[in-house]
Amino acid sequence: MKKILWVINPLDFKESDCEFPHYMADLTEGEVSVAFIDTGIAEIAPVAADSLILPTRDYRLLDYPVIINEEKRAMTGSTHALIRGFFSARNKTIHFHENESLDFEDLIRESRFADLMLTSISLSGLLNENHSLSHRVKELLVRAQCPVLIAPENLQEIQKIYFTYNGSYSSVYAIRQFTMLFRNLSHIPVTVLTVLESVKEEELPDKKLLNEFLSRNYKTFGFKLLQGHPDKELLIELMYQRNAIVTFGAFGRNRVSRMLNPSHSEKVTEGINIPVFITHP
Amino acid sequence: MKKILAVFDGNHYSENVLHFINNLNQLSAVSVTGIFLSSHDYAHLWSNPAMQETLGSLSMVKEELELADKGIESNISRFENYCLKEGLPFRVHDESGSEVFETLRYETRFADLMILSNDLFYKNIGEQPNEYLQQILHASECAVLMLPEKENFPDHLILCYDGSPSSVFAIKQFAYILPELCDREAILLSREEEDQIRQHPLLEELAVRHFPALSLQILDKTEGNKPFSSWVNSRSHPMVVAGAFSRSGISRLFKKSFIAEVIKENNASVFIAHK
Repeated sequence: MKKILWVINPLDFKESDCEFPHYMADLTEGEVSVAFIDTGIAEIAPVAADSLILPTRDYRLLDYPVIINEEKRAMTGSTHALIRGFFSARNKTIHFHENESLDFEDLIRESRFADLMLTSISLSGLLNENHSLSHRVKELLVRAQCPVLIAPENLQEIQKIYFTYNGSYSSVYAIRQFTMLFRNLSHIPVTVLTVLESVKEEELPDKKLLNEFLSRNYKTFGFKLLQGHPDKELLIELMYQRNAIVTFGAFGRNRVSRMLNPSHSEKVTEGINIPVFITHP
Repeated sequence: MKKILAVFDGNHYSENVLHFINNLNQLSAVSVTGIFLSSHDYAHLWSNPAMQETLGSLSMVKEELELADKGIESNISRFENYCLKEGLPFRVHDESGSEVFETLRYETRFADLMILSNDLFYKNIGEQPNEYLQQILHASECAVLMLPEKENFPDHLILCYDGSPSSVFAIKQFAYILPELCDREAILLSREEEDQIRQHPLLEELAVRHFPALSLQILDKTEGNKPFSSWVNSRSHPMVVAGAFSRSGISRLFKKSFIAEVIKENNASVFIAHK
């Protein structure tokens, strides 16, 4: 039975957030284990955008006064109760981490012993109107020692699977890991998305081997070759999709590679509203 | 359906590898791709100056090369006949040449598991795990299962934990790739000085979800590699699950670890997974 580590900011939570993890537990035949992040590591959003008149300011988190701590504790308790109530009403087991909250390194260590980590696009709990990946989530995606699934804003039943593929080991690794974790999705149609500079079917790398892999594991699959810049093409392809899931095989392996080649998965992830499965060898 | 690569060298055909795959097929459908490494691949290894000391006399090697070429066609026929008889979906990888490690890398990228005999695999070029085996493991992009030649389907598992992320990775990969074997008795084994498993309730929590018949065992810190491998090899039909720090850590795995001793003693199956 698989362990799904669900990472939550307890200060930014609503009951409907339980729906997707509950659905994932069913799909993977796993159990959800909740970990509350230490909200001391929440990021600060700038109060005002860059402007000559009102320059951006950063606000630092200082030691919380007692009242704020009490409020945080109350909200955390309320979140705890909401989650327990939701799962209990559906006769589903839910576990809570023994620690009240986990810091970043704790989360990484926990991921080593989990089969899947589930999180939202931002754990900051603060203004995130741009729907951007928070710094902490980006770090999680790079350093997590299990696959990470970024939940969509609302529950979506998976009716389509998109595998991004560029011939690399990393992209195939992600496809394989997804397949092993979600064996119950073999009946769902699969589309393999590849972005090439020129669209020629025979240029799809190792197509025969990929074809063979897919035919063993999925009833229906097809290939879609896109032409152009990967960020743009994948975003256009996926941004209006619903009831689908997409896999990516890398997420900026290290800071240097990210600087030189901003990860396609990062930009696409921020622009779409379907679950995103990311892992890398 | 799992895709399994069965890798043979030209001279040696392992019956046990195919029996194992056939037994697995009874539990969960598999397809098998036979890869028969030719003498060209052997010659490629010979061209590495560092290997020449290991490989010994050139004239002896040339005789082996000629024999290997004749052996391959016969082995391919045996493989095909076995698969047809047992109803195993199969294909034969039909490329050969000097790019063996790259070719194998691409095949393993799209496979779930690679299986080979740890007794027979290029046995003539040195005691196992020999350099060739290590290079194959290094090139592999999927998990590898090394089987002893005497027939034995595992009846229990030994999950090796040394506190490293790679050992946990290997345990997870085993559960994903071979879930049909997870109901067997599983011993979660630690060799660390302190009782690491008891300091890691997370590991117990993960392991017990995947291996319902789990027990824990700590080896005394004073024991070296030899007593551990003897303990493993004294057990009946064990399958050892171990990780490596990274693909580049394969040689470290063999130099530092009890796994080399276990393979050398050739009684246990060994499952290795690395990122």
